[in-house]
Amino acid sequence: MKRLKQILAKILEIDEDKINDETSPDNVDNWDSFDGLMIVSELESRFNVKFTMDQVVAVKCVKDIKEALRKQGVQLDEST
Amino acid sequence: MKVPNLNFSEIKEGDIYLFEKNLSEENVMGFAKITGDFNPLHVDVAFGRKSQFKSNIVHGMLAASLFSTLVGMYCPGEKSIYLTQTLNFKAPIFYNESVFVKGTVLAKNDAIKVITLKTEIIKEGKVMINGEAKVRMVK
Repeated sequence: MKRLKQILAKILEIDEDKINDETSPDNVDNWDSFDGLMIVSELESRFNVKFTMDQVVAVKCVKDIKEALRKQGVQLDEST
Repeated sequence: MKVPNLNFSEIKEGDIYLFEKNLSEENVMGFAKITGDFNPLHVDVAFGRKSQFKSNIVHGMLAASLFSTLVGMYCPGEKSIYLTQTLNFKAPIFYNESVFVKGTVLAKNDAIKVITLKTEIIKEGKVMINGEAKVRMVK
């Protein structure tokens, strides 16, 4: 999770400790469509995965991102 | 020059796009007028001679602006929307030197139609400026 948080924190320019499962464009003021593209691009690059358009559209919050990554076989360490 | 109109599927990871450009004194003066950057290192001959480079140098951002040409006129061309560009200025370029502008497709994000390009300005085989561009392709 920490690696995911690092990626999101850098793109969204917010503190890592403010990121949780419920973090979404609805509660982060500067999470816009541009950031959405950057997040998909960075996640694919860092975790070596490929998302489908359906997966991208289905993501509404950080919990959904984690679920999408797990479906791609990415193991996220929840403890860090 | 006709603007290419590549489709996302036509672009492959590892593809290389390349063109050559001479950066003239006229280009430097034109860039200074457009941007207002008349730093003497770029436009004052006497200052340039006394500088660590012993000559005037081209604005780094003028040379880096060729990455816009790479994206807009070579890959992907007409369908491109420039999203991001990182830059590292590694070595100076002097008046009237010719450089190669090189773009290498590093990655394609199919779902969002974004390509990532390694972008380089190369002079005599040496990388003078490099960085990474992300470009979205629209219909």
